[in-house]
Amino acid sequence: MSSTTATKNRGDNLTLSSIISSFSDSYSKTPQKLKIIDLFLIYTFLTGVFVFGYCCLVGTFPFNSFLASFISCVGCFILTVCLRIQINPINNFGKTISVERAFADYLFCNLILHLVVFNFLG
Amino acid sequence: MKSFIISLIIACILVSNVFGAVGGKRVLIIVDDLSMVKSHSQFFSTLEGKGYKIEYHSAGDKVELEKYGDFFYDHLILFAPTSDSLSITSSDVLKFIDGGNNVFIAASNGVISDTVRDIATECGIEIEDDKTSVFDHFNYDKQQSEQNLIVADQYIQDAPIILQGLQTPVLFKGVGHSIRQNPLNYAVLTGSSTAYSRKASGVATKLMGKKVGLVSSLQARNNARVTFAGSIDMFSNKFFTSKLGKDTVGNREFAESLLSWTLQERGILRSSNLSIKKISTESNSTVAPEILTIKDEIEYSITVEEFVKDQWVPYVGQLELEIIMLDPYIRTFIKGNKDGEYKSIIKLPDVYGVFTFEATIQKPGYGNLDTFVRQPIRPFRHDSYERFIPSAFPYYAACFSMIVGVFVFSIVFLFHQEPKKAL
Repeated sequence: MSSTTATKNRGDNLTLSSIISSFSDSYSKTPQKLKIIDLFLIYTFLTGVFVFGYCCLVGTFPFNSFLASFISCVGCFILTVCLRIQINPINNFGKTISVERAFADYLFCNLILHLVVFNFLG
Repeated sequence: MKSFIISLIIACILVSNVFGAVGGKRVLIIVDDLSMVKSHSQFFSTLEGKGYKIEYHSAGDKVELEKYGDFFYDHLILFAPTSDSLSITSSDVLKFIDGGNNVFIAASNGVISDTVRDIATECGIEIEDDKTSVFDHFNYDKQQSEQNLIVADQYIQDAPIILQGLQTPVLFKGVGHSIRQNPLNYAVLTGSSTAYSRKASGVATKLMGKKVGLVSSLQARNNARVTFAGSIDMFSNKFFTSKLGKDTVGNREFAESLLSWTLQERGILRSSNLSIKKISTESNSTVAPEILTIKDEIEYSITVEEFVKDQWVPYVGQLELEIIMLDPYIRTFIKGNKDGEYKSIIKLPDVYGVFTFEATIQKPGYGNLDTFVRQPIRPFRHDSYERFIPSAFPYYAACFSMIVGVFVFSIVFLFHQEPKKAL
């Protein structure tokens, strides 16, 4: 009996609404700090899409400028994802890398990234 | 008085420079035996009155063309096809040609010496075997019974400078040859489509039709000219004065034109006043602004002159200009104006490096002109690029927004307090 219920449940899970509800269920358990990071990630992603769209629209003329701004978006995104992985309690980095250490690394990497970007921006 | 003499000497030198022939005036004529000087006197007399210093030698005489790198002669007329006792070897003659001197050779339908054969072979001309003559049963002198005394009028068409528009047919009696496919060789006179080459035994060789070369030339890359004629008789007094029916034959005009062309009396080119001027540039660099920069607009100009009747006159034609760095980046043709000036405005390529600006004229019958100059084309300096381009403002904005975003995110991240869990 129980096995048939499980099969039925699995079938329910495949509908779109059930996927979304199960996602929001598990996402609500995510710490708020990670949610803030996710918000920032969405922001960088959208900026990157905007830059790319603008380039497609206007042409590649100041190509170095385009590359610099696109790299700055992509770089920020990657660094923030790294930060998110490091401070996520599920990944158990807490013992080797503290939150403060991870954040200091993040800031340092951002500094280098933007130095490069501004050199290239022309 | 003394100063007058000196100025006279200087004037003489100047005049001789202006009117001097390109190739010099010393001619060595080698004949099989000296009776030929008489039988071909009208041919040799075409050199008279042009300031040539002529030396006659028979084939047996000991002559030297060169000693310690100095040539004793500027031109060689080799009318000794048969003699084996020539004191000069084919390598002497080839060295003579490599030195920029001119050679005029004639052979006959008898035995041809190895020396003459070797020289011809080195110049891209393959002479038929000994005792072979060109026959043409349709175009021969019908007053004579010999059908190897042919009437030839298949002149070279694309190099009118050689024969100067000669149309009258010439009499020819001699050996045929073939020339190699080579842009330096010209078939000045060939047989008509009914001509063929036949041995004394009566066996025809494979050479026939318009492939039968009667007179051919080589215009070497160093401007030396070599002419090979298969018939020595066509330059004789007897042929000069022959008649075809009522018309005179064209042998005299043919020989005169051919000899004067071979001796570089015309069709030699030289260039001067090469200049490359910058007209406009996209670079705003103040450091060494005269150096060419990519995408510059330049004016290339050069003057070309041609040697005609002992004088340099403007050459009006077409010049090919290539701007090369391994590959030609720009290849263009420039038309000359009536003063022989070739000017063109060119936009340099968007590639930096050391480029060769090479101007060439390759016209059949004319000497080679190959003038090149090497110039660096440099990239923009770091400060020559445009700054703060309006169309790039969204990119700048995106970069700054990333920085501001990281800043704001840091503040939020650092001062964020995890809310107490409801549990």
